[in-house]
Amino acid sequence: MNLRDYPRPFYAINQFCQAHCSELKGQSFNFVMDGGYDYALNFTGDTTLTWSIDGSEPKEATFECVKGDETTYLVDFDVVETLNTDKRANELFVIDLEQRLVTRVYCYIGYNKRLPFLVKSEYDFGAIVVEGKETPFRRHCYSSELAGTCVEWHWNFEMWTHHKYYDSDYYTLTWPDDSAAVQNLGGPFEKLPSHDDVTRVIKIKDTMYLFCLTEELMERVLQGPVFRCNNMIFLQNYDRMYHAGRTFGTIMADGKPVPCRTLFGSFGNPIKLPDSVLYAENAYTV
Amino acid sequence: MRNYTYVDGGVLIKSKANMAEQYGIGQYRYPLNYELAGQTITAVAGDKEYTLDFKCKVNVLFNGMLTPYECIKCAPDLYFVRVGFDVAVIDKKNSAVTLIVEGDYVMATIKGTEGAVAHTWAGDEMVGTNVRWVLGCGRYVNQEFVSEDKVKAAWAPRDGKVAENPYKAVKIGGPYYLVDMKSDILKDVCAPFFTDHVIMVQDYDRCMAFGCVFGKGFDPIMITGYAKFL
Repeated sequence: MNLRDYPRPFYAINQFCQAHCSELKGQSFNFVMDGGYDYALNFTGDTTLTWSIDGSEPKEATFECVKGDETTYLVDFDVVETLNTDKRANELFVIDLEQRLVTRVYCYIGYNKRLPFLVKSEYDFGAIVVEGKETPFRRHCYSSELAGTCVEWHWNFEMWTHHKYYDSDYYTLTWPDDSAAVQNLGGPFEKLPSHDDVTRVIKIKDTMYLFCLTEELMERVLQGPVFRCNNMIFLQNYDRMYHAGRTFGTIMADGKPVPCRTLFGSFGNPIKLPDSVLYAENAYTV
Repeated sequence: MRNYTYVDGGVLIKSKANMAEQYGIGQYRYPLNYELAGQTITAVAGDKEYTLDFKCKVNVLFNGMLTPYECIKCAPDLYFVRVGFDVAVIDKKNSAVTLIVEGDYVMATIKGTEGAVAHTWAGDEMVGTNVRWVLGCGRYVNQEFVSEDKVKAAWAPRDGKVAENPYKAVKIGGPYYLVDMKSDILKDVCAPFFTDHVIMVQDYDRCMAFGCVFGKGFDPIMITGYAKFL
């Protein structure tokens, strides 16, 4: 049998996703956060945890976890009480055991009156408290160091896209004609003035960045029956050129908006983009 | 360390994207997985038992010998483990373990599991498959399975240098196959010169492979790759 024809489901961006990692089971963490609200995570099972803020009553959640390298974990879970409501929320932590640092990304939907599906994000940095050890004063930090980097990301065996990182607040997405992205992504993009969208870049370590994008500009232009906004967070490993991440937001299915949250991953390689892409204007900015 | 330098007229920003040449064909290897640390797994095949006592993140007591190991999680409940120069594929979902010990195959079940069935040879199930496993930037191996024990293989960048190699394949279940390809001496390709065996769990659902490259004169290289069908 030609195993190309193995009866697999349709994968868009999640075919090359790592298997869920349950190494943190049985571990507890206390995070001292610069935002003033400290967090405690207690990994109670392979996929279950409790979390609390500033010593409040712990809440339960089902989490997923992938790794950026041997000691860096991306842990993601929905806030249970917001599920099946118009105001969903998601918590994501990058737990960096090598440097005993943590980054928290809190994403939420339903708070923009004009764009109810817009995902908003809040970021906070902190350190992991370990008894008997000095708490680190260094932090993961916002960064402009990805500017000038262009990568071809392979999402599944048929689809690859090109990312151009030219600014800490924006990036550009394109793809070549031989990629399934033409069919999978192409339609809505043809309606846009340019292929840029909103980002934040956080440095985790010299070879690792948390690249956070929100399809905010697309939502503003395309709001309606063809598109809904997602937030995507990539834990990018530039030592080995792959990433692991998650998407959170809403997608359109049969003309209706449905909640979306999935993990993804892809493999990268450097790409030389044509000048028409490298020097393209961001149509959304002055 | 900042990746820009001041030059006349501004700054030069160096791209973070790179070929990761220091890793060769091991570039895309997924992070090692430590879930097995602290666990003991006894595999039973006939009247023989093989015990893997994972003492910590790096050492396993394998049949009385403390041996370094590396583990990649291929799928929920499926682990590819290099134990020294041997291999263990631990399939917790089916309570089965396949061991390759000094080249010999042991298809076993996990002790204490009722009704578990060991993995079996794949026979000719893979024949007709023509796939490229991309292991890093510009580093890949092409495999065309032409019979139940022969595979045509070529390593980048010499796609045209095709060799017909013997292989063995074990059916793990579902989309998973354990493929063990013997290799000729290689020259001017991305794999090491004295590559001897390439052993991979190939997942034809997720279209990824996880495994290890063995050979003379170099330490085993753990690998991860993605598929491109040819």
